[in-house]
Amino acid sequence: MTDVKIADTSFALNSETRALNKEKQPQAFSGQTGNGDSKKKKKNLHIGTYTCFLFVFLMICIPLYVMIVTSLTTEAEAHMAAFHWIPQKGLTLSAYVTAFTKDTAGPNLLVAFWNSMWIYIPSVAVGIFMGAFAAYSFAKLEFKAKKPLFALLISGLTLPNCMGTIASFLMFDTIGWVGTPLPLIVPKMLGTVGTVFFLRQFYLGVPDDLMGAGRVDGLGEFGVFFNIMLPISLPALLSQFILVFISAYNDYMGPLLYLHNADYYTLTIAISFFSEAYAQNWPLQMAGAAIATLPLLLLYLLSQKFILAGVAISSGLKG
Amino acid sequence: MNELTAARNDEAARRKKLLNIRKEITATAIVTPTVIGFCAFTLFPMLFSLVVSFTELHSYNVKYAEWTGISNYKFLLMVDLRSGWFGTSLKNIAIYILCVPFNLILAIFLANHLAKKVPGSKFMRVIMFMPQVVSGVAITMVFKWMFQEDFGMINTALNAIGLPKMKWTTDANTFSFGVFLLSVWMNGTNVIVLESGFLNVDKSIQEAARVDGASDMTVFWKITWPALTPTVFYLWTIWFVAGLQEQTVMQIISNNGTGPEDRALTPVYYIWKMAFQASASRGFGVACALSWLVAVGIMLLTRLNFFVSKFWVSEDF
Repeated sequence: MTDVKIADTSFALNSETRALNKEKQPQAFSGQTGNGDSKKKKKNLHIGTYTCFLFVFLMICIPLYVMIVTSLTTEAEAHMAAFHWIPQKGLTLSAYVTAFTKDTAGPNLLVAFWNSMWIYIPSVAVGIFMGAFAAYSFAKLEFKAKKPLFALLISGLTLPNCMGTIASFLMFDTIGWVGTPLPLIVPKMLGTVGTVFFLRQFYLGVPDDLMGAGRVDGLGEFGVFFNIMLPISLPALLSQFILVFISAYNDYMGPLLYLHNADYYTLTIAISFFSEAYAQNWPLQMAGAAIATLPLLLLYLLSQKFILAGVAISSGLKG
Repeated sequence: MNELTAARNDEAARRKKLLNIRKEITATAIVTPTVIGFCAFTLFPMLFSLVVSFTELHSYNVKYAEWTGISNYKFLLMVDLRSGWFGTSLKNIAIYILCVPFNLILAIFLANHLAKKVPGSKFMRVIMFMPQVVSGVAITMVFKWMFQEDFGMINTALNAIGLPKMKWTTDANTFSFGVFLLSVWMNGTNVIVLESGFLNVDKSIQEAARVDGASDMTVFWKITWPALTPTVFYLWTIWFVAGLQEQTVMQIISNNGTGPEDRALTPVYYIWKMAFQASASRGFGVACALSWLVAVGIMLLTRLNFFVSKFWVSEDF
């Protein structure tokens, strides 16, 4: 996530309103009736808002419903006839059974799910920790190389990723990492630039007095970080962890480039092979999509408070 | 006495200096892994890519690279841009990128409703972010099934209300429209970020303006919109850059092909294709040259973006 500083807009707002007030003063009388109208409007049932909510709700949920329902229909029905909102020939779990047991098109989905877990959870966790550590140093400590190093990292945000993808592949191939999950793990473990920016923003908001108190108690830089900064920022770290994990879990290009051995395939890659190998078997494809989607939806619904707060903060509005 | 104090002062100064050096080293050491990681895995490949772009390379092994000067760039700009896939991919991305402003306008509209805090808007907030969590590969597969021409959900529904079936996978324009719909669906972040933008606008000022007789439209354009512009600009910048690098959706929805009339071919997808699918005829050298051309193009457009922002964003960055 890019760090674009969104400055305090209240100043501009004040001058804006002052200008507005001046403009509007002569019309104050004619405005009275309009004001009465808007008060009446407020008492209504927000029909416009609810209509729009209903529409959006349907738009978002229909594809997910189609996914679930198709994954539960029999193959014969999905193959032969038009789509039915409610399956005509009864529900069946056979697509899921096939998805979990057959492994002709790649790895077993259970193995793939496990791969997604062990490749991404530890590396993202370590990466967030390293990022938090670096963010703390950039936000609260003084050192000579601070400005140039930070500028170097900023430059990374303005460079499009596509620039280095192919060369990264050649580089990893030269050191023999292609075909192993290492290219997906090691770069993440050192902390990504986005995490550093987000958490730096967070640490800048922590008052210096708090650190001073820790220093008086005889804590060094490490002590202050582990005893004060880390506990305070735990919710922010958690929301970052979940967001970064979700994007890593859903990553398609990375695993496609580097994992050539079916034993290492992540879930995203594994289900993408479904869409080629079983092009006409829609229940099986939808079962694969559902297996990839539902764990993350569950994770999201359980932690939506952290995630949504994190998304709102990462825009720089509250940080 | 004086000598003693001076010596003590000296000692204290030296200690302080030592302590400062220690602090300096600790602080630098903390950021070192991240900086090294950035240099090794982001910066170095970009520069390496520039070197490879001046060579001809058809194998993974860099040893077989042959220096060919600017011939890759010549090929891309003189031949491929006019009559090859490079030109096609630029046209396609120009169509695709239209979904970004559309998404933003839609998100502003929805965030406005969300910020009204009517009962149930918390629930809608959770729903509206959901698409961001869903795997792009999975949802592309679902849309492919919905777009299926004979039994797909959309054509079935169109048929049911008496409309003709649409050729989602065979007609170029319909295909582009389908991808557009998919990219609109996939967007969840914008609404949440813009909602917090709406909530940050000072309510008392809006009320004051209303009391003074300003209409809803005036309140929006004179008070709410200027306060929102930095957020809108931030979102516009990141989605514009991300949109120009679209690849995954196109790759899945076209089954690793190029879609009707090559509509699925985007520049970044083309880079991947040149390196891994057309390795013999194109290879890594041309792929790297194209990735530099695309990247420089994106950076120039971003510059332009920042320049144009002076005219509509209420705060300068």
